[in-house]
Amino acid sequence: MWMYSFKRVLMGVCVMFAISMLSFGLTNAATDPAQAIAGSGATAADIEAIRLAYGFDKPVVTRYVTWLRGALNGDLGESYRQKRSVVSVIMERLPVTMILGGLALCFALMLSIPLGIFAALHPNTWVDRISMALALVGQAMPTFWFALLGIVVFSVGLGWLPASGVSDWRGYVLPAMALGYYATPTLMRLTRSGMLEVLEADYIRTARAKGLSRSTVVVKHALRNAVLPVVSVAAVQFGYMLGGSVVIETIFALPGVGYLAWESISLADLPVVQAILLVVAVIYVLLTLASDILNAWLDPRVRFA
Amino acid sequence: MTQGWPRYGVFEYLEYEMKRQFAAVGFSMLLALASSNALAQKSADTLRWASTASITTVDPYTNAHREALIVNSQLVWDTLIYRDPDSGQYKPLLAKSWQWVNDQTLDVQLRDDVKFHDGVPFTADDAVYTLNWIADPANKVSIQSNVNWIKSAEKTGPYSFRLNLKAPFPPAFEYLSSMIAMLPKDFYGAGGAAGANGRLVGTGPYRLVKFVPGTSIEVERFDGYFAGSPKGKPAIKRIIYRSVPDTSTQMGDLLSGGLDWMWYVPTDQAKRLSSVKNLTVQSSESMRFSFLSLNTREMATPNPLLKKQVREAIAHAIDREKLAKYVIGAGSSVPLAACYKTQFGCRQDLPQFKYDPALSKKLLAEAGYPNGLTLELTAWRSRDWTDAVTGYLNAVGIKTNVTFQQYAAAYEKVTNNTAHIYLGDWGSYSINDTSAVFNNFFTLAPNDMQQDKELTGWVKAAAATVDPEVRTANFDKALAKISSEVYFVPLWVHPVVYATTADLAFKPYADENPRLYLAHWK
Amino acid sequence: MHSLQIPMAPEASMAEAQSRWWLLLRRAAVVLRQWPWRRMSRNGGFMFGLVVLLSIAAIAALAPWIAPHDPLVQDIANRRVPPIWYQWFSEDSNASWAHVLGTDKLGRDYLSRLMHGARISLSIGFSAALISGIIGTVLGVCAGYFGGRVDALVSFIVTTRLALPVVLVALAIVALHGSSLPVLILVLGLLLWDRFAVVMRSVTRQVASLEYVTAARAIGCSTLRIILTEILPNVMNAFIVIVTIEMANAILFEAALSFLGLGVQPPSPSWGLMLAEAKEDIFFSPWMITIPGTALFVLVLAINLFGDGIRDLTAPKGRS
Repeated sequence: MWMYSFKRVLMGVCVMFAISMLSFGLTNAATDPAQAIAGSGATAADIEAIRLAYGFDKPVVTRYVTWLRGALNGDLGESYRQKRSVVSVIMERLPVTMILGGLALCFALMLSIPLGIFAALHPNTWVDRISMALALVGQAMPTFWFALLGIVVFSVGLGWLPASGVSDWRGYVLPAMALGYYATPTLMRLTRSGMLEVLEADYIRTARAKGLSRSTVVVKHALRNAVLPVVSVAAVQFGYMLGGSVVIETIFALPGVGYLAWESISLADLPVVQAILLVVAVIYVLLTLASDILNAWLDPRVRFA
Repeated sequence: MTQGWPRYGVFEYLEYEMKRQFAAVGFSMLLALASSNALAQKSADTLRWASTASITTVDPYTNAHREALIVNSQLVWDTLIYRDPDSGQYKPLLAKSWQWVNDQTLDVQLRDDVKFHDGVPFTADDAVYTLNWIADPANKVSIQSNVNWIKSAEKTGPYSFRLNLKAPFPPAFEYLSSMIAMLPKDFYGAGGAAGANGRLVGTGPYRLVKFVPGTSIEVERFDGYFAGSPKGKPAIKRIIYRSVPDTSTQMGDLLSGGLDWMWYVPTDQAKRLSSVKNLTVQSSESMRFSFLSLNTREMATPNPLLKKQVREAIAHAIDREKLAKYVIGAGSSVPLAACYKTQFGCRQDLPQFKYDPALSKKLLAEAGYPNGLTLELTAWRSRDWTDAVTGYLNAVGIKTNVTFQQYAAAYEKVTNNTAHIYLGDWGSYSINDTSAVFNNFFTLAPNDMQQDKELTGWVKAAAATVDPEVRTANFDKALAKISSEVYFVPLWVHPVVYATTADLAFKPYADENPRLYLAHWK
Repeated sequence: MHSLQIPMAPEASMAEAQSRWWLLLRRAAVVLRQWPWRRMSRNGGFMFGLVVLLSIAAIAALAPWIAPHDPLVQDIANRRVPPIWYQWFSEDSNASWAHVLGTDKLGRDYLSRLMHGARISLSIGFSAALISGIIGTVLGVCAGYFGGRVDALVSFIVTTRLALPVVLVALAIVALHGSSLPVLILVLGLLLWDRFAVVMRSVTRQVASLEYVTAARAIGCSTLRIILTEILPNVMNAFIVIVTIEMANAILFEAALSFLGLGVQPPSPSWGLMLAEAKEDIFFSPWMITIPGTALFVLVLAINLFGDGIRDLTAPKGRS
C-alpha cells in the first residue's frame, strides 16, 4: 500500500514539474507582452519603457528558473494588468469556479446515478433505451448552445434566473446545469455497467436468496461496489470542469478562474495564464492521486494491476 | 423467514421520503423564483450598469479602460476644471480660478470648502502630489500620452499651486477637465497600489463602497458633496457596475430586468431592442472613427502598397456611404478626413475617393496586378465590420488574410511590420483636438505605418505652439497629404448606442462620456 | 534471428510479392464475409448514425455544386432574412424561397453556409482525429508491447497530458500563434490523443500475450514486422471506435474555440463560428442560432451512434 502510494506521489510530482515547464514555455513562446500591458491607447515610447521595466529582454531559461523558484515559495509572480500578486488574483476567483464545478458535479451525479441504477435494474427495456438516449443527446449538444438556449428560455423568457452574475444562488443554477450535463452520460454509463456487473455477482445472488428486499440489495450491497469507479471518474470530471469552465463563465459573466484565464490570454497577462495552467493541473493531479489511493485502499486488486 | 418483514424496504422508504422532500423544496424554490428576479431597481434607487471591460484597478491612472478612466472616475473623483457638456464652456470645479503665466506655466487657485469622502479637507498638497506622481514615468501610468505633457507642480499656498508643462500644450484644458482627477496625498503609497495609504477616497459626488477587481464596482451617493459644484447633486443613490464580457449576455440581462444601463449595443440590435416596451434605446455619435491604415514601409516581402495606385484602388473599392448606412447603422457618418469633424484643425474640404470598383480594378491592373493580389489585414474591434470591409476588397480582387485577435496580438502585426492593412479605430479619448489623433499615429515610432518625415514635421510643428493659425496651417497640410497619399482611408464614425430601462432618464453626449451623475429616474 | 531466415533468389521475390497481394485480398474477403451485416441492420442506432453520417459527408463533398449560393458573397441590403417558414407563420417578413434557411447578418445565404460548414467540420474533425489517432496509437502500442520503462514513460506522458486543461492550452496557443486551419488541426490533434494511447495500450497488451504473437517472435520476425502485421490489424477495431469518439470531440472542441473567437476565422462558414456570429441575435432571431446548433447536434449524435454501433458489433460480449 505504501509502495503504491509512494510511486503515485512521485509520478504526480514529476507531472507537476512537466506541466510547469509546458505552461511557461507555452506562454513565453511568442508574443510581445509589452504591447499588451500598455493597452490600446499607448504610444511606442510607452511600450519600450514597459519592456525594459519588466525584463522581457532576458533569455527564456533564466526567466523560467526565476519563476519556478518563486513558485516553490508560493509566489507566482505579479500580474501585469493588475499589479497585484498572481496568487491573490487567482485566490479571489477560485471559489466561484470551485463552487461551480462542485454544483455541476452534484447535478451530474444526481442525474446520472439514479438513471444508471434505474437502467441497470431494467436492462434492455424502453426505460433503459430512453436513459441511453438521454445520455447520447446530452453528449452531442454543444455546451455553449445549451447555455444560450437556457438564457433565452429561463432568463428572458420566464424571468426565473439571472442571465449573468452570481449576486445570489440563482446565478449558479444555469451555469451548473450547462457545465454538468456533459459529464452525465459518462457517469450514467459507468453506473449502469458497474451495476450490471455487480448485480450478476455471486454475493448478490446470495443476498437475494437470503430474502433481503430489493432495496437493501441494491443500496447496501450492489451500489457500494458499483459506485467506486464512478467516484474516481467523478473526481477526474471535476478536474476537467475546472479547466473547461471557460466558455460557461464567459457567457454567464461568472467571476471565476476560467474567465480569468480567458481574459488573461486576451490581454497577454502571462504570469496569470501560467499560474492558472499550473494551479488547475496541480488540483487535477491531487484529485486523481487522492482517488487512486482511495481506490487502492478500498479495492486491493488495483494495487497490483 | 421473510413473512414478518415490511413490504416497503429501505429503498422504497427513502424513495418516498426523498420525493416528498424534493417536492417541498422544489415548490418553495419555484415560489422564490417566480417572485421578481430583479432587485426592483427604481424602488431600490440603484442604477446597475454593465460593460465588457474587466476593471482590475479602480483608480483613473493605472487603467486603460474608459469605464474606469472616465465613467467611474468622474463619479468618485473630481478634476480641476469642468467642461459643461451642453455649452462646451470650461467651468471651475476643484479649481476656482486659474491664469496662464506663460505658454508653459499655469497658476491655479483651489476651492477651500471641499472635503474627501472621509472628511479630510482637500488642499493643494493633494493636487501637487497627484500631478507630480502621474508626471513621473517610473510610476507607469497606463496611458502616458494623457499625462506626459506635465512637467511638475509646485505648491504656492495652502490652496494654490503652479503647474509646469514640458512644452506649450494646446489641449491642456481638454485633459485637465476630463482625465486628470485629483487624488488624496500619498494615495499610491510606496508600491503604486491604489489606496495604499488606506484612503481609497475622492472628492466626487459618489463614494466607493465596494470594489471586486475584474468583477464589480459599487458606489453610493456622498451627501457631503460640496454645494456649488457644476456637477450638481446626483439624483440616484447607488450605482453598481458589473463586468459582463459578452454583449449578448448583457442584452439578456437588460431584457430580463437584471440590468438598467448598457452601451455599445450592436447597432443591428438597436432597432430590435427599441421595440421592446420597457426599454429606451438612444444612439449618439462619438468621436471614434474607424479607418484603414495602409503600410508604406518596406517589408520582408515586396510591399505592393508602396505603389500609390494600389492604395488608391483600395480607397475606391469600398462603398463607405452604404457601409455607414446599412452596416454601422444609425448615428454613423463618413468622416471626410483622418479626424473627427469637431476636433480643432479637422478640415472638411478635402476631395473624396468615390466608390468605383471598376476604377479600382483598372488601377490594380496599371500597377501590375491584373489578377488581383493578396494582402495581410489585421483588425480587432468587430468581426462583422471587418467582414463587410474585406467583402468589398475581395470583390475587386484584393484577397485578404485577416488576423482578427485581441487588440494586443492584432496590433503587434502593426508594430513589427507584418501587416499591409490595419483596420483600427481611434476615439482620441474624447479630446477635441486633431493632435489627439496625430500624436499617436504619425510620430515615426514603430507603430507609424507610414514613416513620413515631412508629415511628422508638420505634426510636431502643430504640437509645439499654441498659435491657432500656425496649428491650423500645419494640420491642413498634414491632412491633405494623408488623403492624397492615401495613408489613411477613413471609413465611418462609430455611433454609440445606449440601451436603458424606460424608468431611467439618461442623456448621451457625443464625446462618448456617459455622465451617470446627471441621470435620474423618471 | 537472421540465421533462421531462408534466403530467396531475386526472381522468386516477384512471384512472392504477387502471392502476398493475393493473400491480402483473400484475407479482406474473409473479413468482409465475416462482417456482421445482418446484426448491423438490426442495430437501429447504428444504422441511423451511418445513414446520417453518410448523407452529411455526401452533402459536404458535393457542397460546391449543390449549394444554392456562394457562402462568402455578402449582400448587405438583405441581412437577416428569416427562413422560409416565417413566410407561412408571420406575414410581415421577407422570407422567400431564394434563401430557404434565411441569411445571416451580412446577407450570406444560411443554407449554403451550412453545407460548406459541413466540409469544414468534417475535415477538421477527421484530420484532428487521425493525427491524434496516429500519435496515440504509436504511444499506446509501444507502451503495451514493450512494457517496462517504455510503459512507464508513456504513462507519464499521458498523465501529463491529462493534467493539462486542454481548453485553456488550446486558447493560449491559438491566441499566440493565430488561428489558421493548419494550426487549429495541429492543436486539436496534439491534444486529443490520450484516449487512443490508453485504449491501444490495453488492447496491445491483450494481443501481445496471444500465442501467435509469441510464435512470430520465436521464428524471428523483427519487432517492427510483428507490430505491423500482427498487432495493428487486431487493434483496428478499437481504433475505429475511438476515432469516431475523438472525431465528435474534435468537432465540438473546434466549435467551442470558434465560438470564443479563436477557431476558424471569418468568413469561413464553420458551424461554431456561425453560432458565435448569431449570439447577439438569439433574442430576436432565434433561428440563427438554432439551425447551426441543431446541425452540430445531429452530426455529433450520428457519429456517436455510429461509434457505439461499431463497438457493439465488434465487442466479444456485446456489452461495454
